[in-house]
Amino acid sequence: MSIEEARSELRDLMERVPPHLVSLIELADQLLNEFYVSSEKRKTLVTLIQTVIIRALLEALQSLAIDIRDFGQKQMGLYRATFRYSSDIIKYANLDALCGWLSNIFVMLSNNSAYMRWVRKQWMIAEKAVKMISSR
Amino acid sequence: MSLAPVKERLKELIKLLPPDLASRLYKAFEKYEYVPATEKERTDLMEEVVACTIQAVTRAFRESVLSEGEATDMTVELNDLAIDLAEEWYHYGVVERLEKIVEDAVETLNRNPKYVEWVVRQWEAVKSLFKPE
Repeated sequence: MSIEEARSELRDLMERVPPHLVSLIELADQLLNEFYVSSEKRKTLVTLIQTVIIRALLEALQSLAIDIRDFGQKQMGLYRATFRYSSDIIKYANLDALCGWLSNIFVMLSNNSAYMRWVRKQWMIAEKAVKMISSR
Repeated sequence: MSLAPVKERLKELIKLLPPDLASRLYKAFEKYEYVPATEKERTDLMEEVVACTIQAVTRAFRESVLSEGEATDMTVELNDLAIDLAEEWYHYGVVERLEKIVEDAVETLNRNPKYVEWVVRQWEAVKSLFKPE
């Protein structure tokens, strides 16, 4: 597994969060370049991605796109996936584990149709805003 | 090994959870006097700590007690501390790990005065229901 493949997983994940959180995914993308530097860098990367997902879920909850039960299920899904992969990612700099983790989160988010509808709507609103500004 | 030291810590944690979640967590621990024999049971017990604490934070966010940033940071912190300490508890039943998780969860929740006030209000409301006339 290469850094480029991990980057591609991150790009997939980008479409599963609202557009204003993309800058945080880009930050994660930059941290990927330092994946082999130290365990602290890898820990920061893992924390950053968890932060993005929790923020997206909390916003979906606040917008009533998902309920507290959905939130709880997704959050536990994130906890379980992070528990499963984080040691290999952080301690052993295992890129396969990073990709496995990202793809697990991707599937978990994709499986919730209410959440996905909400994310798509956020992207459509952002796209319209961009078009409006560009046409001025 | 006895679960008594964890149950001592648990008393502090349940004071920091809304009454219904406190009761749910208490019930999960009540089943065991000693460290659960199977990995599945230990995992379930630990996940109840994670689920109840994070659900409390989420509820505080939904009721606008915590900002999005505060709720995110607390959730990630609760997630992380459980992840860091869970392995030895899951695999080998090292009771000190579960004790530490409960202790750290108390510390995380206690750090935010708005959250603590919110929980105290809920307990007072419940207590008032049972006040003698």
